[in-house]
Formats: sequence, structure tokens, C-alpha cells
Amino acid sequence: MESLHTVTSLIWPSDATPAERIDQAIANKADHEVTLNAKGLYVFVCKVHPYMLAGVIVDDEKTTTTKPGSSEPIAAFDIGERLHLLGVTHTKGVTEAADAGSAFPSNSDLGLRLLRAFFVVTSPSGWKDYTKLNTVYHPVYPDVPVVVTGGAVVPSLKAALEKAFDGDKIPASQTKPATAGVGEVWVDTQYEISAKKGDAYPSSITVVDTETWKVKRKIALPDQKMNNGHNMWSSHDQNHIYQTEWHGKSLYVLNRADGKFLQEIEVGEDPAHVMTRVDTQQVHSGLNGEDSVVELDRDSATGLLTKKRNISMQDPAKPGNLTQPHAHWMGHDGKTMATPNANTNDSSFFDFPTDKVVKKESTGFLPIAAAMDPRSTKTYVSNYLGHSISVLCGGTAATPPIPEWVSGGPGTKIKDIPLLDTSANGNYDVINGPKAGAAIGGLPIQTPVSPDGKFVVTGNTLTGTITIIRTSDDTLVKSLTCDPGCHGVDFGAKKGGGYYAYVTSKFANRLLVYDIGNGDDAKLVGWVVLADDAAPNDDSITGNKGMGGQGLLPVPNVYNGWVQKLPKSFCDQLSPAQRNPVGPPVDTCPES
Amino acid sequence: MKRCVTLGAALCLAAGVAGCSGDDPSAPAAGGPAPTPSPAAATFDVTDEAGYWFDTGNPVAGTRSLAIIKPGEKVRFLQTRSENGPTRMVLVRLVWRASTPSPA
Repeated sequence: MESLHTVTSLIWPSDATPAERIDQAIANKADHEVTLNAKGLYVFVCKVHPYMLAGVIVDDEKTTTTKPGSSEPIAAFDIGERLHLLGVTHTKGVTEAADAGSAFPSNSDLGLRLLRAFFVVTSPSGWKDYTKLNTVYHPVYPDVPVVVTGGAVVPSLKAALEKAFDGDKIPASQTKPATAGVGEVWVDTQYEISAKKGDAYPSSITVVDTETWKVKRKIALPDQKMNNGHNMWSSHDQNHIYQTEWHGKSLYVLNRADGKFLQEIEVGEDPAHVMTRVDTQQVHSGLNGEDSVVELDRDSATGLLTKKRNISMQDPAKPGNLTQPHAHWMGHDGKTMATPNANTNDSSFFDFPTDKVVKKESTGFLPIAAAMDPRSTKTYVSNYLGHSISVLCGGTAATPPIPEWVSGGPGTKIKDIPLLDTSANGNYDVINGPKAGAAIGGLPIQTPVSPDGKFVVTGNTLTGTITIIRTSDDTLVKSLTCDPGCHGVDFGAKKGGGYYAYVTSKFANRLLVYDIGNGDDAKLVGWVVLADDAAPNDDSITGNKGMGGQGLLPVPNVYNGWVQKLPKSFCDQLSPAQRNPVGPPVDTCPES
Repeated sequence: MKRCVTLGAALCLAAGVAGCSGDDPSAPAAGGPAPTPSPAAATFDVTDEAGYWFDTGNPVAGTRSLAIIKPGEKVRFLQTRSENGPTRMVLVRLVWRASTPSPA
């Protein structure tokens, strides 16, 4: 175990006392323990890497049932009458007193959905393998009786979960998008195991060719550890790929053309995401185990990096607990940066011209990813445990007031968009599940804005959906089925014009390709299976083939600000509108 | 530990897999020397391994991250097994380092 973690109570029985919950103020490497008295289900999570789950059932030995047609007693496991879910039914500090009245019944869609998520997340043998063509997908569940709300006995947890959620068939063949993309998509297949590094250091990069829709290369970096490589960005000339190491301390620089290793540079604890700054070509990476974004200078001749400084994400007027930023986003002109602070439930807005955090604004529980619109007038922050998207003002401290601003200026929250709204008029009924026809998300992660600024597309781990927000009025308009552990989203150019939203999932091995269209007609247009033993590689892939899809990077980078920096060879592959997504079309690419 | 062993066995049997339910693996086997009271009924080793981030070492229906305990029992999460030396992750890394040329 190399990186920093927390052990944090995520789910607990409504009658569990504060002493039966644990949390830590910062990510750490310490041991922890807790004594549990109230019977029922407890789930613990790492707030830095929130796919890390531990489950404990505190079971009363007197709880039994009988087999159908028999009087012989058999064990039945106590799930608990009612449960609390951090960020939904309990929105205070983990160890603060909880309101038992707000807890949800264990015998509910939410209860089943959370149990299913636990077994899928923690059972690699139950991850969705798209190489098993034409077979019915069955996650692995325990076939045991459980006791839920009102003492009701569910005879088989396995049968209940399968009835509620499962039964879909793995397609017999790949559906390729009818229209090619432009360039490549680099995918962090973070859970793949390779021969030389072994189980201890999972992750490879899978490169997909969007002309053929096939895997082009696998890069495991067998002579480095690249422990859980999580996210990437490209240099302005697209010659170099920057790769983070989420369960380690390093950034890696790779040669894009052949995938060869160029540099490993130690930057700090748990570097999560990486982006370049448009105006300086500097590289920034959020240190998820620390308090800062690390800034690196790029040598223009070699493309290699040198660490320059750590930029604290504290509010200078009110410094507090470590922020532990995860997926930051940089403004289109290099003047601003927004971070989702996973440890302080807020977002810092950094203004480069004045070189300071100008706002540190509360968002929701466990903010995990940020993105800006193409003119950097608004920031969208996904709140992982809050199941919502916060919309905040952009702009710089020196920018004249812009229409999107609310009182407070850059970094101030405009609104929250709930994705799993349990209120009377919301989209989700805790007992019965999603309301008919309603768009739904839960445990949202990556949330980029389309390069033309029209839509925000978010990957949702709990519901296995992508959600689409229309930016003109910041309204949730649609959700579409994704895969288990839906996670990464990024936009790439579609040949001839428009964009594809590329989507990855942690517990499946497909890269999904969506055409968002006008929002209402958004649809899945194809996919690429990321397991491919025939693809060229630098080491053989031995386990979890194609699994763990998290960060992804379409090349060329077509976001406003970056797209105008592309070399002519890439620019020439784009349509006039793609070359300048929110301004006048560019008919002829400038010479590089 | 009667109840825990019984439930663990039931769960494992029902799931068709070997292993118990997350009892501390350091607990002595039944029939051996007089047992020393275990400090925890369940122990999770914190790892970087995909899917086994909180690892009891005991598979139950595909997961190694689920433990069954009795009311009043303790659960431990070990990020370091410092009392027993480096974690297996560090050991693997050390072996790997020793057998691998330095990166360029």
C-alpha cells in the first residue's frame, strides 16, 4: 500500500451511535478500528479513492429463518431496519449525531441499489466482461437470506438483486460508430494487471484508433510502477502525454507516437488529474492526498517537466483543513483554475493574474471533478456523495461583470442540480426507484462541458448512467444507460463536424461512444472493447483485461483554447467550426 | 466465535466458495492452544490492488471486502502492518526493485 487513504463511514444502521462511525480529518497511512454494536449493514469508504469499499454486517445470532418447506432454522443476516447514507440522509460531519428519522428503509430501491454496487465494486469476478459475447451478465452475489425493514426476510439476496437489476445480455458483436472520430482516445484502464508489475501495481493505458474503432496499443510501463494511473492530458503539440499515478506520487511523460516512456517525476501524494495551462504550456496536477495543485514547467525542446511550486487551494483569509483536490479544470485562456476539494466539500477558484484563491465556495458532499464552459464563464463541479452538480461563476477577478455572474463574482455558486432528487417533486423515489421517464444519476464523477458549450455530460457510478445537462438553463434533460462504475467522460472530434462524448467505466471493459446531438436525441452510437490480447504492448496483460476505465484523453485536444494551439497536421483534420468552437469558423489552418 | 464461524461457513457454503467471513486471520485454529483474545473480530488490510482495496483475505461470493461480526465486536483497518514488517505491497516492490534494472 503506497498511497494515502481514509477509512470513513458511508452507510450505517440508524440506531448506530456516533462512536460506531469513523472518519479522519486528512488522508493518512494510519491504522484504524471501530467497535460496532447496532446490528445491520455498515459500509466504509476511502474519501480519496471512493471506489474503495469495506462492508461489515453486525449480525444477531438469534436472527434465523427457515428454508421453504422446512422447519429447520438457518442463519439470516441483519441488514438493519433503516440505514443512513452519508451525503444523502446524513449531511453533517460523519461522527456528529444523526437524525434517525431521516434514515431510509433497507427494504427499498436505494438499499438494493447500494448493496448491488457494493458487490459489483468489490468482486472483480463479477465485473462486466464484454468479451463474453452473447452471454447473460450476472454479477456475483451471496445466495443467503437477509432480514430487512420490519423484520421481513428476503429469502435470497442474490435472487432479489438479480430480479431488480440484472438479466441483460452481452452483445454478440461490436457496434462501431458509423462516422469515424478524429485521432485517438487514450484510456486509463486502471485495473488491468500486467505480467511484470503484477497485482500490486495495476494499470495500463489502452489507446483506441477512432478511424478503425480498434485497440491500437497497450502501455503498462513495466519498468516503472505507474500504480493506478488515473488521468492524462496532452502537450499543446500533441507529442507528449502526461499521466498521473493516483495511488502513488509520480507524473509520467510519454511519447504519444509510440507510447515510449520519457520521464517519471515525483510530484506529491496521490496526483489525480493533470491539465496544461493554455497560455504558458505549464502542467498542473491536483494532489489528492495534499492541499495543493502542483505546477510544473515544460522544457520546450525536450518536452520534459520540472516541478516549480505547489499552489495551495486554501482561502488565504480563512485557512482550514487540507483541501485534497481531485480533478481540477483550467480556464480556456489560462487565467483561471477551479478545484473540487474532496476533503472540505467545496471548490477553490484560483486567479492566475493575481496569483491567489479568490473564492472557496461550499458545493456538496465529496466534490470530485470540475469543468468549465468554453469561455470559462461557468464552472461545473460534481459532488460524488452529494449526487449533484454545483454550478459556479467563472471569469477572472479583472473581468468586467458577465451575465452568468451572481453576487459574489468568480467562484460563487449559482445553483445546485440534483441528479438523485428524493424530494416529492424529484426524479427518484427511495422506495420504488427512478420515477417514470425521469433522467437520473448518482455518484457523479467526470463532468466536462462540450467544446461548443452546449451540454455537460456526467458519468454516474451508482446508477450506471450518463446524465446530460443543457447549459443554456442548466437543466438536467436526459440520462442514458452506461456500464457498471460509469466514470470518465471526455469530448473528441467527430470526423466532418460535431463531437463524440467518450465514456469509460470502472467495472466493465468498454469505451462507449455517444453522439449528444441536440441533447434530446442523444444516443449511444457504438463502443470499443478495451480487452485485446492481439494489440501491440510493452508487457502482456494478465488480469482484469480492459477493466478499470477512468480518465480518458481524446487526441487531438479539441477544447476551446487548446484547439487553437494544435499543429497544422491536426488542425487540418477538423472542420472549420471545430477549429474555433465558440467563435467564427476557421476555413484555413495556420502554418505551425 | 461460534456464531461468526457458523455464519461465515453458511455464507461461504451458500456462495459456493471457500473461506470464512472476515475473522481476523491471525486467530488460532479451533482445537489448538488456548486462544488469546483477538483484538478484532474482522481485519481489513488496505491495499492498492484492484477490487481488493479493503481485503479480509477471505473470499465470500467473489468479494474479499465483507465481514460478519457479532454486536460489540471490533473491526480493524490496517494500512500498515508495522508490527509485522512492511506490507506485502512494499515487499513486492522491494523484490521487483531488486530484480529490475533502474528505469531510464
